[in-house]
Amino acid sequence: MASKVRIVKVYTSFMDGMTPVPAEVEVSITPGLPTFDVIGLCDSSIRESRGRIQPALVSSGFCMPKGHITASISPSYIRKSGTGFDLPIALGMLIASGQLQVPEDVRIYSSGEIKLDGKIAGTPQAAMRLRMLPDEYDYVFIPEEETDAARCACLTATAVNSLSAFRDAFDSDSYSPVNYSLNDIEEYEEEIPDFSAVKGQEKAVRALLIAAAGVHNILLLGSPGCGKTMAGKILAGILPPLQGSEIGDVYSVMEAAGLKDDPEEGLILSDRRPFRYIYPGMSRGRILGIPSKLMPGEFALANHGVLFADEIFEYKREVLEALRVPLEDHVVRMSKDGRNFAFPASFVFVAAGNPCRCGMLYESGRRCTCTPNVINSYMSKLSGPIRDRLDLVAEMRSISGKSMAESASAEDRKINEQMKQLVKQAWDMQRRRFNDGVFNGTCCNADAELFRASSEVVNYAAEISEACGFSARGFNRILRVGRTIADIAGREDMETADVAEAGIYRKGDLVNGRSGFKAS
Amino acid sequence: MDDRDLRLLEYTAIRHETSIDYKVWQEFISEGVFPQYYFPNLKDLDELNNSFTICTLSERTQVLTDDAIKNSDKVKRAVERYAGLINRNDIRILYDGGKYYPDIWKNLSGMPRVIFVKGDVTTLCDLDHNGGASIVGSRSPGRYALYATKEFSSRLSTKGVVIVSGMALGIDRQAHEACINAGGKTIAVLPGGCDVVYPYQNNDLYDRICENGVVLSELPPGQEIIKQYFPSRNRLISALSDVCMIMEAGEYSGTLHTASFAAAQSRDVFVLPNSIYAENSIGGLKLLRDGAEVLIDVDTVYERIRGEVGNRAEYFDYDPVPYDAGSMNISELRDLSKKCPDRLEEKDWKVLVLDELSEKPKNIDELCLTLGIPFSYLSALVTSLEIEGRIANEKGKYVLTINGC
Repeated sequence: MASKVRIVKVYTSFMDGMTPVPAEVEVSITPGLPTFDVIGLCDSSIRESRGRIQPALVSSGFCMPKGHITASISPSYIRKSGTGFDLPIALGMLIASGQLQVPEDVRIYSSGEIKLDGKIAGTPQAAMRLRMLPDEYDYVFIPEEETDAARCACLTATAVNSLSAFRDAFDSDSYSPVNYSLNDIEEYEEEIPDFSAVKGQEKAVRALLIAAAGVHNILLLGSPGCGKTMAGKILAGILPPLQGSEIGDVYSVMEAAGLKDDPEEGLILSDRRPFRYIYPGMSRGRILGIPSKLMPGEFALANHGVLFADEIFEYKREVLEALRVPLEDHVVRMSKDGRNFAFPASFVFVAAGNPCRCGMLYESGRRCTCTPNVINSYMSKLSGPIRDRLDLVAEMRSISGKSMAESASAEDRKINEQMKQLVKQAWDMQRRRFNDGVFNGTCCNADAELFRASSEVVNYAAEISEACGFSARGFNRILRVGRTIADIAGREDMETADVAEAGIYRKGDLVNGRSGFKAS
Repeated sequence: MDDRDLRLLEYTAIRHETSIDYKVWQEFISEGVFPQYYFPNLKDLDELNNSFTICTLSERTQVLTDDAIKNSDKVKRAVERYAGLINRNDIRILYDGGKYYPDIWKNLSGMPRVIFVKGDVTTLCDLDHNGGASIVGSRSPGRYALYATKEFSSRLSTKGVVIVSGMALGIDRQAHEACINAGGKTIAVLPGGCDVVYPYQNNDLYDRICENGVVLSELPPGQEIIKQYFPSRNRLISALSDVCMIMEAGEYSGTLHTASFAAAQSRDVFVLPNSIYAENSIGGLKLLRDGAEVLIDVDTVYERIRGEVGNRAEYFDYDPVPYDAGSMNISELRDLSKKCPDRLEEKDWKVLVLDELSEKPKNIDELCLTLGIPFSYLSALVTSLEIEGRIANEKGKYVLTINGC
């Protein structure tokens, strides 16, 4: 007495390492002793789904189908884990047992964890999965908690919060999916510190502007309390807001890093550029990420934003040197189980430090107590290769209380606006020159367009490099910074004055390697 | 190492390794045995000993000459040792009548005929042409003297004056350092061989001096420190300068030797006035009572140095560096830059930048504020001045180099 076995397919997706994989959940119910099997290289989090599904069905007013229940998840050769399979399995069971009436041959996508009371909860890394979702499903159900992720993915879907919502979900009249999009996200409004904090420090102000406009790495040197951290925040504040897919990039990395949805930790969907802060006590794992867990670190979190490295001279050597390659390639690479994963890490790198051990080197008067030897040994903690990656160096000094008081004025607001405008203009020029997301500071070394300049300009840059004993990379960096200075001025062609200005941000000294940085 | 150098080394070895002393050489020269610019070696002494001339000399000279020839092995070993050190440490030998031997010593008696130097020998030419100032004082000075030392040393060196001192701790160190920091050139006269760093704490300074000037000694390379030699070294310091500045001296300070040598060599002695209750001030104050000049401002000292340089230039017939009285139109330029900055050209701005820096080292933000030009424009100016080698960045501030003023 063979009865017709009904097989129901529900679609879902899961994360294989950092790669989203679309998956298919097949559920069959055959007569027999009541059993429940989930197959397809599942780990116990999936196998436990039975324990969650049964009470949830009952508490939502459905009943647990009788018979032999098999759920097979394919591709079945990939190990999988996660509780996001609860909902597709439960839906498959309900459809197979006829408790939900669904037209033949519709493709249903769903994902979510089921609580015992039938509520549906979100699962980690939703944004990354949803953003890669192929556009081929007739019904897309997401947990309500994942609506932010859906907005990142610009998904058309129905958000559900409990199993009972499925009772009439498939009625043609009542199914009305929502088009999630980024259009209506809250504009990020926060008091950003304005330029008055660094007023009177023309070099620092200008260097910050250039760093923002061309995404150049910058080193700020100054005494404790002279406003270095503030300068980093100012820099983040004058960057244009995140655009389009960048918002999703930032959000999904935050999710992957396990940031919680509260203002402290900052998992917010917004167009605000991330500002991440690292300090010498942080482990290498926090900064670059933990390969064994595929957990992105601060580098990946700062993608599209600003990474502020405080007290750059105090890092452990091995940590500092490990930053070299990510800083150059703008990607953090990790290997796990013989597979490589890459997290993009393209940001403005702002390093800050004291110029000497007592920190007072640049202060007026005779306040620095370091001998030349001490200064040099302090400076040499930053190895040549790291130093080479810093396009801009600016000295800062504390300003007196009097000039502080003078400086706070309404005009500073205006300066902020002007700066924003200049940065935006420079970014537009670079967008025309390169692909999206590539800047003068980050584009590859072989870009002919970047280095297009008259021979006069190139010769002058060579002369500067010669005088400073720069490496080939140093020469290259001077032209990059020169290019950005021209972009800020809105000029298509570089002039010698641009390159000359670029020379001034290059290390503390130019000729003879006097104090400060030795010429490398 | 050529024959002449070997001869000079042999001469030095005879002077230092045998008992032939200054009196004997005096007799050789006054009796016409050897010409004045001649550096006799062992062979010459041997020939002399076998000739009749030796009988015309005094008995003491005869004995000592004979003695020296008996010790010729010792002399030869010393020459080899010197030659090795000279090659290894990149030392140069200068001699009376040869290139780079300071003109400033030409009219003095008792100056060494052979000296050993390490570093940039052209500093000695700068000394002759631009003038030199010796700055000496206590090894554990007070803040006041240290401050004044820094001030005078750096301001004189930005005017091109070479600063001479003894690389001791305290005032000496400060004088050398301030000079180098201001981009000037400096000379250290060491109490041992010019490859022997003394005191060891100044190891860093020694290297900097070798880069930005010269270390000098009349003693052969490798010669260890002999305390008794210190006063003798001081006579070279004062002899290598047009004016001698005493920054701080206690009642029995060795600095006073330098002052008396300077007076004997007819160098002007300036003493920094200090409180009678201050530590280490009595020696200096007594010098003032005895008629030394009071050190008040840089200009007086500089004028005096210019006078000496002028005399020397006449005597040795070379062109002195023109006196820098400050061109007249600097103030006009400054006015113009405030009223209508558009009319100024790049070179005018450069003059103004150099003018600002001649007052004192300034950071770029201060320059930007006082000159009132956009930072982007100023930074290009500064870069090009740096490339020209006229200014340098020192501890975050820009200073004039020797070419800048």
